[in-house]
Amino acid sequence: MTHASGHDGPVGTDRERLADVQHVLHGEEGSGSWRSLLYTLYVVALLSGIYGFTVLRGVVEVAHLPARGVSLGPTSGVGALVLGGVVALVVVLALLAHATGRRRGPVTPDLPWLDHVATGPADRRLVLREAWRLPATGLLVGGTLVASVLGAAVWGGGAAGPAAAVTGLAVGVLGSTTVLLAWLAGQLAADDHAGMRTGAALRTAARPGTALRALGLDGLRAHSARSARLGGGVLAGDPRAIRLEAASPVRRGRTWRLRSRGPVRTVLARDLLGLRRQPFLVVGSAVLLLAAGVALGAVVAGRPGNIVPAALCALLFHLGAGPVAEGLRLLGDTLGAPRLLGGSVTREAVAHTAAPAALVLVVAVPAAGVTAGLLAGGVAAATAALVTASVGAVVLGSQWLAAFRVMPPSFAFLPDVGPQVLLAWLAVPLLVSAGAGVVVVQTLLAATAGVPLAAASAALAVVVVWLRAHGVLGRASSAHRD
Amino acid sequence: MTGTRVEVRDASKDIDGAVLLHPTSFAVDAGSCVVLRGPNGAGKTTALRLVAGLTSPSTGTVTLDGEPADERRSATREAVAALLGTPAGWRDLTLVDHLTLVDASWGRDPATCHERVLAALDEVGIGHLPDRFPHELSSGQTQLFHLALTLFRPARLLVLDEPEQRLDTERRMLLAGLLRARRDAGTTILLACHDPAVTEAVADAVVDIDPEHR
Repeated sequence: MTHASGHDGPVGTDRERLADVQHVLHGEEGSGSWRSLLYTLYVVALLSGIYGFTVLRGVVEVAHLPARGVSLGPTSGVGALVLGGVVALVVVLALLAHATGRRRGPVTPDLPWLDHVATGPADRRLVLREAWRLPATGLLVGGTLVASVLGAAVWGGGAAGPAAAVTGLAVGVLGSTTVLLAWLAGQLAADDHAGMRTGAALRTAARPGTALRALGLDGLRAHSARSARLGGGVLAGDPRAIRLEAASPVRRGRTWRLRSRGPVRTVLARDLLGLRRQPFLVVGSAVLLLAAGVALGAVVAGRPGNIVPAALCALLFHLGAGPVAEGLRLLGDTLGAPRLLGGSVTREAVAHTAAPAALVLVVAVPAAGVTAGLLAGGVAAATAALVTASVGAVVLGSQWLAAFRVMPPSFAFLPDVGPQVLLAWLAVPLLVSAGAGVVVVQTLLAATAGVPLAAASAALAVVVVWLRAHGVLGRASSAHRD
Repeated sequence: MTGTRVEVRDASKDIDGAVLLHPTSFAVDAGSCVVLRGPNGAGKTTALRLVAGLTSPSTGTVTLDGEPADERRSATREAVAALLGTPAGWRDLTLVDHLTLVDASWGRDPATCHERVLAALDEVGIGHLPDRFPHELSSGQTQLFHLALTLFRPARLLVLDEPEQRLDTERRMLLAGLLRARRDAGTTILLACHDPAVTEAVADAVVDIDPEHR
């Protein structure tokens, strides 16, 4: 076939034609993606160097490790343990990156680029190269920076020699490379066109050029569209959209059937069935709640002089109760649609609270009691159990705040202060858990020391959080009306 | 079950100056079926949302058996089953689980729940898909599932927004048969519909919603 222009085919090499396309799309200036990435990395490097290093070195110095005869050098026993922990962390991060890659991989060019350029005859490796190199560079440089700062802080704080800094650098490079390739392998494994099992995907990801050529248009479109919707959800302050886009479709246990057990018990059975179909939610919750319980037990036993440990415990508690509170979030998703279920929304919400409450009682409370008991005896164990149950009550109320929030305030969309406001709005339930959790821990500890009215203050904190939670549910139920 | 009488008197809706529905009046007698017709943007969905009590009229009144339509009132929630957009659903439940949950929440007999659920799925032609998750359905099957959910809960008034959409001709006639049966059993039905055959098959009266105020 002869084209109207008189040419028999495309003119120039793939590189030249892609450069032309870039020029048409973005002009002489280019897309600006690299400039944005490099600026972000510059800021991260600056903050890591000035604040990250200084703070971490201060923490290491305050710990007085050398005075206790502890060295974190890679050749010492403790250092080897820490290094093993870091390697384990890298493995966990790689697994998470692989799972993430199945839903949102690293290669997500703009949809128009996919539809109008990737569909052309140019080598797909070249077409996708920039979309791959941008996140790859960000992750590699960012990961290396963080690990290097950690290693340098250990050295600077006197807990190890210069080998710690070198080890940090090496762990950073190797760790972020591992995570990056696992992320790409996840995208390959989820791509119907590539049709690879996990092992083959990992091997192919080690050769990124080959991996890019293996990615099919359908999969790329799905990942790019999901990426755009996730970004939209973040910008709009819509946690529901983010969650629905990020979550994998449920397919497990389709023959396990929900049985009718009356209005309330069936809602509880619904949640348990949903969690059986997504067991990683239970495992994640249980691990975090166990850690939160152990930490709270240690806080009660140690009675530290400041509130930071209690606040960190409450934050961990909140994060632990979150995954298993899926029923509450799903109820939040359905508010505004015509009611299908009989009974009140409040009754349904209370029933959905039973699953996270049960896990708190079964995992966190015993963990706190046992830890405090081992560290400080029977009275501390009972106190830790009471404190943990009370913090649990606060955290469950905060889960309502998270599940039933409606829209961020309008000034969250202003160009200057918007992102900060949005982040603050998203963090409200977490902050409520931390703030009220600290009040509960400190006042209950004071009550055991005989301070009058301290226990009443703890109870008041729990009641205030739950009144707020109930109010949020009421507002969410009617927020759709206009 | 006795149907609910619907009365819409000069009801209009505007939001920040944008008129969604000009003043409109019509009534639906208990146990009858009224079809709303009109071009896109005429305000049919808004009229249905007013009747379902999901929003309040800017002017005029909307009553169900003489009481204001307001889904915040338990009487309205108990009376009205509505299919307006995508209904509430649970991504981790199969079709049969969804209907079981709805059945249980209305306090029906647990011993016979399973039979009712399977019959309800069968009634709309998706009885062979009980163990599918909602995201595994085609668009037409999804619409049938949404209809099954809406028709399954007890109601004295059905409010349906274009229930025929995405259905093939055979399924549209199946839908018409289901709606006729519900009306004959005493349920009041108000729906917006663009399909002349379905309208012809189910409507006791047709109300044309005019996009321009006259």
